[in-house]
Amino acid sequence: MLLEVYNPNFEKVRNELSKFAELVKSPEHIHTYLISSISIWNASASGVTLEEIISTIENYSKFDVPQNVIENIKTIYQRFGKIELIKGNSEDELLLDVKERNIELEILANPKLKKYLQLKDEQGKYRISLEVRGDLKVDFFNYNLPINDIAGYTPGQPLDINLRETTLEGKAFAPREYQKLASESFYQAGTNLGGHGTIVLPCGSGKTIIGIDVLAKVKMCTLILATSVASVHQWIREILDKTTITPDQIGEYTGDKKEIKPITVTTYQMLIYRKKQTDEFPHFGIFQAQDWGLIIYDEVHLLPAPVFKVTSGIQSKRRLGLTATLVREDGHEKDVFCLIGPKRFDTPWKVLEKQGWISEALCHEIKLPLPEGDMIDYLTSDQKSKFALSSQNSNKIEAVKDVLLKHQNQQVLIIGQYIEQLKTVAEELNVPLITGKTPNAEREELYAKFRTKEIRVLVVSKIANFSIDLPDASVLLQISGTYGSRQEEAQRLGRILRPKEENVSYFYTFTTKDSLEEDYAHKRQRFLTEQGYSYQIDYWEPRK
Amino acid sequence: MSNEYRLNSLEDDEILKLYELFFGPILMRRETEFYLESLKTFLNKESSIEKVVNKLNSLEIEIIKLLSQLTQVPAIFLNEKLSIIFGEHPSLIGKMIQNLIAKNFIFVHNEKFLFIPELLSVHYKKEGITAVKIDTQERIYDSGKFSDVINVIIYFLSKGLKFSKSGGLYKKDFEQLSTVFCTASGYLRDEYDIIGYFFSTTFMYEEELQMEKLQSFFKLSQLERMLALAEKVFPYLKPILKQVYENKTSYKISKNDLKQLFKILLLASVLNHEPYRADFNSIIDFLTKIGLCKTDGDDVIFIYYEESDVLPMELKITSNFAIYTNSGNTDCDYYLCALFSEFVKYDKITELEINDRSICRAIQNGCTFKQFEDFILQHSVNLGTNVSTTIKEWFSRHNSFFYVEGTIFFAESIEKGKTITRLIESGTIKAFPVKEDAVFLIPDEEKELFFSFMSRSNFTFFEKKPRKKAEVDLQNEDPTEYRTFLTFNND
Repeated sequence: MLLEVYNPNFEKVRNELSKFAELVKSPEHIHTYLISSISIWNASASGVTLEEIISTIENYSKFDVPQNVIENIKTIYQRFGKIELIKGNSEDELLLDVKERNIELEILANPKLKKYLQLKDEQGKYRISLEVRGDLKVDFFNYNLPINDIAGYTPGQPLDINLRETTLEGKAFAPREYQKLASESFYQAGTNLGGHGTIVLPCGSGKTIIGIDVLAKVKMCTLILATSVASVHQWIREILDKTTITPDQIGEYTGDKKEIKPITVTTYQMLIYRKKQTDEFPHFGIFQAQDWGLIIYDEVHLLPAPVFKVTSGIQSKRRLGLTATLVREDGHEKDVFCLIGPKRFDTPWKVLEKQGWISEALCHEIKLPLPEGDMIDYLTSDQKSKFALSSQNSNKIEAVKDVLLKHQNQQVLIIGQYIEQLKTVAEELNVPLITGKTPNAEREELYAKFRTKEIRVLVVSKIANFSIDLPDASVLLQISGTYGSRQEEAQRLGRILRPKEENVSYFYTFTTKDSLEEDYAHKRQRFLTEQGYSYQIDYWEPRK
Repeated sequence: MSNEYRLNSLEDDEILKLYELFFGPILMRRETEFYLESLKTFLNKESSIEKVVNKLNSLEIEIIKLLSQLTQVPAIFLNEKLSIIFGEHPSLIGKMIQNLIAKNFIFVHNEKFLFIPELLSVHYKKEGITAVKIDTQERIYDSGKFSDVINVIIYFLSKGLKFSKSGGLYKKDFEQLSTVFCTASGYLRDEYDIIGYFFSTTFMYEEELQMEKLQSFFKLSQLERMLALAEKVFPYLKPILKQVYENKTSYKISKNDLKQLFKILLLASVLNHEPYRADFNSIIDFLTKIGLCKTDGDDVIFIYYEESDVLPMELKITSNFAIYTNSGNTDCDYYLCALFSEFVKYDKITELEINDRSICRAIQNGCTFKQFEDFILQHSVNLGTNVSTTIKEWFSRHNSFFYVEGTIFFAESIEKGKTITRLIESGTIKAFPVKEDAVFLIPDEEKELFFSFMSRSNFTFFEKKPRKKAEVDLQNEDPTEYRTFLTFNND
């Protein structure tokens, strides 16, 4: 479905469509929505009726809606709710309630699904072991048989947690309207309809706050999975700052500390760490270490495959996924839907920008030539070396210096892929560098100085792609990146989207003209251009 | 009368051969007039003709019956035409025709036309075919009927597709096309092939896009485009459509009569391309879909339309390089979109995408950034700065180098070279100056014209072949050793 942005009904229709269709891209002029099985089942799960969906499409469509579209929607919609996963007769089992005989026959005729229907309880009801709850949902989904999982959750260990009205720093605090909407669409007033799902919002829009709001609603012991140690510290800092949780109630489970507390924050890397590839994952035990009532998956689009596997085994826990892009370069979006849960909330980036909740971002691509001396090397190299050579173009340092002159009073982050290149830039500019090898204490110190503006320019490796809270960074210079990764581009832009006084941020990406890097840059920019961002292309020439 | 006319068209030796076919070998030669008169009398007796004709096999008889209905038939693509009519392979038909020629049932004049003595046509000829004027409800051509076809053409353009020798789509290309079109258009595989045939025979020449023809086609109204396609793919429709549009009225004709008429018109038409292979019913189905005709029981009605209004193109280009436009537009510039972009989605709105590949293809088709700019300006499109700059860069990147295969032509003096330069500048000959007034490159396709002009204009020139390496080596060798070598051989 295409939605005209300049149509007077735009806002109204957008709100209606978001209930049952997925926003695929939202550049200027025309937004693209997709009605998929998942989106229809999501709508059905949230109580949107079939009549509402059809009347929205028919009432607002510019052209006659083809009858087959309506019929397909009806068929798909009606498939949801025909199979339910409900509480079993005992604590260690669930009941699969197949409500229609023909669907039961369809399942029994399918060897891959039949295995789940071995223990018949009564007409159309089968006893299911707790352990297969995740696998069952994935397998059934693969055959277009959505399972409405309303078996609920194990209660988990209660936790007394409330949001503060004034933060520890003394600032007034309350979640924003869209944050409240997002956490409520996940929580669903505590009913079994909610409690699992994914929230998709731009970087800098305060997904952590949504996580905290959910925490305060669920009020259970919670395990939070983050992408890096810096991110773990950010979560801890934010929870302490904005809730009534005390330091002794929140723990860090990382390489440095192994604390299990009512709220425990760890990293994906920690979970999938093992000495040998054939070993068990020693830290998976953390999932059973407490009677968790909620598990939060930060940056869920980066969830590693082994964590999916363990998540499949903990379907009785409430699960919240947070991400800026559901784009997974490995195509595991379906697993996110089945194992973490359906998308519960999504808002276009530009809408939040318009409302002032994220900063306006001006994107620039600065193209510069390769030094003449490197040209022959570049032309005679293989593709991988070509990319590395163009990414590490030595002219970028001079170009960076020129851009820094334009932003003398602003907090600037320089981010790149190649450590040697970053070291050179840091040395040339005489500014600190943070890489994966920088000790945590030193990192924290540098972050703190950056926050207090004691340091104005900070060079960071790709460890800063995610979840580093740098509230005052308003300029980001990207000097190299991971090939054509769209989500990396989006994440990096997100570092500077937090609202600020002037509410304008600058994102510069440096690429070597007429090189392979230019092609990859075009691919990287795709996600953001589909969100309505436009890159101003500038050319930089070395001074003679 | 007809027999007399046909026999008079034959050469003397052909009359003798025909005589021998029916009466046996001529033992004593007489005046040609005698044989001619005998044939004129004899060929009016069906039973006598049948006796001879029945020696042929059934397909040969069918062929000769059909061909006899016409005084003359273009020889070119005859096998293919008969193959369409009889549903047999063209090579088999070819053998039958050769046999009929060898046996003197058919004669070839100037390898262009076959003169057919009227053998069985009197006997088999049907009564005259009549078409009845009819008033239809349709007045204005519904341009929407043809927009699927136009968009398939746009798709072909935007993908730079190649077609099979017969103009059909390759399997892989059809599979990709069907993912884009099948849900939104009601056409079948064979019908996409019809559009493919039209595209390749109208806009392509030796795998190169003929921009002028494309431009001319898109300048037509939607109705004219539809008629142009019908006449190109089914040239035998021309006389019928001529009647409809000259008399400004619809005509009804029985399906059976029309089928007969199609056969005759197909045989009689002079074609530049191998005719499109389709059976009668498929053709009628396709023509019905594009609105050219409609069926009414056992009749087919060819509908007369008046022009519909032009539906302008509404164009939007977003910062992610996507182009959106109303699919049903009849704008003469629509094809320009396809030249610069790749087709993505089709329904009421068409989505295309400008990318590196599409710009590269545009350049190969002879498009420039200036043309792109003009097109954008013409349609008042606001382009994101990243879009225009990136496209400009792509043009610059893909237009950086090109090569031409050809012959290097040297002028020994500047004075002589200046003459060649002047000839190039005046457009008399085509060549690229490699070194001013001294060295020129003649592209392969211009070589023949270039040298024929030079010869006609009394320029003298010769081909200087590079000396072979072996000869050079021989000269550089020590002569003593060379002699020794010869002496050794003599021994």
